[in-house]
Amino acid sequence: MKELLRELSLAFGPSGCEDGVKDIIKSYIEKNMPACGEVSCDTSGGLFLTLKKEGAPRLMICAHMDEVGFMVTHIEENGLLRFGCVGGIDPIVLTSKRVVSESGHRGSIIAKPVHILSKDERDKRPKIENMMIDIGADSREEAEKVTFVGEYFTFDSDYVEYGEGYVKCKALDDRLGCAIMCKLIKDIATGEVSSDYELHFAFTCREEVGYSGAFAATERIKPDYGIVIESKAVADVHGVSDQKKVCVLGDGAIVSFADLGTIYDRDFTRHIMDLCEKNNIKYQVHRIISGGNDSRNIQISASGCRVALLSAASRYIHSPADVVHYDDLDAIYEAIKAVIRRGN
Amino acid sequence: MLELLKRLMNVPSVSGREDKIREAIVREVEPYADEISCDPVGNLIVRKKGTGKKIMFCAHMDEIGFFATYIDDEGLIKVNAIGGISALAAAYTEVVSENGVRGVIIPECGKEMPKVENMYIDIGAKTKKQAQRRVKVGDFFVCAPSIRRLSGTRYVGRPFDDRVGCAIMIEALKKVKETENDLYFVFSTQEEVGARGSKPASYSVAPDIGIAIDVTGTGDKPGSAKMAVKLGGGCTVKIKDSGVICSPELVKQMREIAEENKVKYQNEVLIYGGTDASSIQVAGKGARVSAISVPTAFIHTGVEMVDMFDVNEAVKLTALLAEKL
Amino acid sequence: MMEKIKSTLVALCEEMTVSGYEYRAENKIRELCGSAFDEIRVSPLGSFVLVKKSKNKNAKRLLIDAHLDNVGMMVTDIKKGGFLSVVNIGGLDTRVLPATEVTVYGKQEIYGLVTSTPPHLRKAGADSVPKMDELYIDTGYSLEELEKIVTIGDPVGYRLKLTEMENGYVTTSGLDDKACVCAIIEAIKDVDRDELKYDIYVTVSAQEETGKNGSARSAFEIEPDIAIITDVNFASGDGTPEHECIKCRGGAAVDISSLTDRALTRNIIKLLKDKGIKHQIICEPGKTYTNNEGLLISGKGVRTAVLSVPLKNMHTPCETVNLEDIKSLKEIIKAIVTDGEL
Repeated sequence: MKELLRELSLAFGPSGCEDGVKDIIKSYIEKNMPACGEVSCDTSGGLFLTLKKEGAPRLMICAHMDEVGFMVTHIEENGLLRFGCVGGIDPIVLTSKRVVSESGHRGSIIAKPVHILSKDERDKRPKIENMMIDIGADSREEAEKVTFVGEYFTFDSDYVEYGEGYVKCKALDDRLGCAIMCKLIKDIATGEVSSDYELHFAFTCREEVGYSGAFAATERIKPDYGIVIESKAVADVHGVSDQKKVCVLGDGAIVSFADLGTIYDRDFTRHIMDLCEKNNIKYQVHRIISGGNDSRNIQISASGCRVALLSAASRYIHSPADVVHYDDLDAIYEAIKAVIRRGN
Repeated sequence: MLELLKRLMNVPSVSGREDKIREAIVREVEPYADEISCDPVGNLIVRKKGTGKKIMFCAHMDEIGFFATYIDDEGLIKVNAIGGISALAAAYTEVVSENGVRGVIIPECGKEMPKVENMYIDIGAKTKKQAQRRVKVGDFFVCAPSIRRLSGTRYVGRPFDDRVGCAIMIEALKKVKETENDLYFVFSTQEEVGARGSKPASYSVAPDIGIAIDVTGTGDKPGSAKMAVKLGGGCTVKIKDSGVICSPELVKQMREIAEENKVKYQNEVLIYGGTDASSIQVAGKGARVSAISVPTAFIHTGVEMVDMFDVNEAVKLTALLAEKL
Repeated sequence: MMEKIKSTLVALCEEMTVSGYEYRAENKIRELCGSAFDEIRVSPLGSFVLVKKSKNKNAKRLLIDAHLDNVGMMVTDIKKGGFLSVVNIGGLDTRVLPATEVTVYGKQEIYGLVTSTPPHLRKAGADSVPKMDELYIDTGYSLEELEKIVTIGDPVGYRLKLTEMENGYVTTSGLDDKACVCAIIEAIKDVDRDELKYDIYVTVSAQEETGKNGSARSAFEIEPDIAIITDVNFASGDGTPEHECIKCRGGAAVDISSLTDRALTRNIIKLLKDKGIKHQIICEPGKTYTNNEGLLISGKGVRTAVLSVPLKNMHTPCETVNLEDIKSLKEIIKAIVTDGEL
């Protein structure tokens, strides 16, 4: 899973531009599950795999392929690029970070230099409208040779395993979900894992900008159950009280009872927790109501479905350095494995 | 050690007025030194001759204090600060002038946070004339010296900064046996106003290695700065303060010598504050420098707190470095 | 020639040289200099002095300075959960720090990330910039493991990764002032002893960012007749007002300041004009904020001039220079050491 997670996270895929990610997933499925299921793409840009099982309840497992990024909105006369954010990004993580464009040109995000800031500006969080991307062009003409208004950029960030079991990259939100699903598909194909559900794997798009590709998918699939795999912003850093940390990296899969978009199905969630207890899978409960994800659409589309959320705690989410812990990814994988075998 | 400390702490010596403490130190070091000299800015340079590396140890003799600027009609004395005075710590304490006149220092207003420029020294004079007979504009004052044991090895009082460094150098000088090293123990002046005295001293000594002996802050008291040094955890080996980044090579040697000889030490990164090490580093062609510090809580107050365990470890390390560097 | 400049620059930028820790680059400096110098020595403060003497016995001593060090951080404490508290070395802009990648130079080099606390948990509110004392380095180790690797006082530097941008621009941390170190070494390597008009003392100096001490102490020992200080200067494009800075791709600049030697500066400008070497002028009425201010008054005093390379985003992990401007500084130095009438 690590190799796949690396490949997926490094792929270029801000919301609305997920093809690079989709291609990797598609070829992975084709390679590992030749002719076992049916891979389809919908017009919203999502990728779906159905593993038919007549008469069994339908379970949809969902993760989004897109990541946060940037879009060039204007090219200044001096060659600097004005940009807007694709998805929610705290501007505090942007100053002086490296970025790379769709076409592979590299640059950095620059803000007014500190020596010309007033004391007041210096203590204030910088604003995106005062930042620009510098790709090394000194005029609009030079810039237009390598980029255009409307081009996407993402963080230029590599995949680093550090400390004891941590990994850092851009876009781990939510490529980790994609990677876990891919591993499940592979293990089902080899017979290592079996399912008592009719499984629908949904790799969705445009989650970061709120227009969930999951909505259309759910309307079509009409699942009885849904599990969303996500990464969850937590404040697990020194200097924050235990209560405010929300969750801790390495303490296992996060199960949620509610966030700002969804009140999760209590029975299904409890069931997952029971399975974790029974199978010695590490899990933790999300200790705050915040955030939201595809679940909000899955729960209420078509005639509604029972939805649960499993997420991995992430530090510095939506920055060039998303951080998660491998143990948590394993725990999510094990939890889903336990769920899909109803004999458990 | 304690007796020596008491003798040194009892002699008031504001920056620029270090003659009395210098005389006191000369009496202590005379039997052990090969050469004793005093330079134009008042630094006392004590040498133990050798043919090897020139090592300069340096502790400052001066302390923070007050400068009488004006005597008003009521006989109260207005003051300015010499060095980093904390008005909060100085308010309502006893002071003594360089000529031994006793008084108390009081802020103008009893409620707001005091400022030094709004403080007066009351020497008990009834009139301006009476005051002028005992104090002249330009006289220096210090907060009254004291030293008391609290419990175990913990002592409070003032000015440990930096009489404790002077005492450590004196004890180390006594302990040093045979060494090739050419040792200079510099008791410097005017450190509290910007490490001034040690500049010319370092220039004239031109050492290969410079080691300041001074106090440093601790991170284990309410409101203290973010640092790992603890009272009672041993003396420190300085790596950085606001004036100096110490020679990594020298720091390594110091740690090794401490470890080999079982001296308990802590690594010191001081965020606010400096020592004479900064001056030694940049005199002449420059020198490799670091410092040994005594963890001290509540520096620049009347209740500077040290642990004698740390002081004794500092003596050991100083003597070891003198012999083995 | 650009390739050579680039490879030297890349080699220099691979080295961690946070102020005070310049010694770590000793092998790299020796390797880059090869046999081009008569002598390479290390000063007590950690500066490298590279000597190359002229064939002329009565040659004057010319000191050429560029500093090797750059801003960084130092470990002040080791905390539970694998976090390190740190203090800045030199002037750091904390706006650039959250989620920035660093390397901690302990018993081994380990990866670290500057923490970024979610906005609602920031001490001074969501709209504030975190201060140094609320930022930590996330190392991913448990306290027990971390204490085996890291000691209080270990240096921390931005993760070193040079990225090439368009049109000859490169970006990484430490280009202030390795761009100039690169130009000087390449220039002096290119010149034969017979061509040297001066005895050359290059100071690849230490601790500029923390008090400008390294070069002045070396000058005290060298007693040069003339000193040329090379450093980076603010380039337009990052938001600095045009009239306060120089332009990237405009060539290196000659500084005119009240703290440099007027005749020396004039002679350099004349030389460059006569030889048709591309350059620009920057006027700094007061301080130049370079090693000049220390060198000027070292020993019995030195005649000084300052040359600048334009640089964007100073002291950030994405300092940016154009290779053309480094080449320009190299050409200027070559002209000075071979033909300068200083």
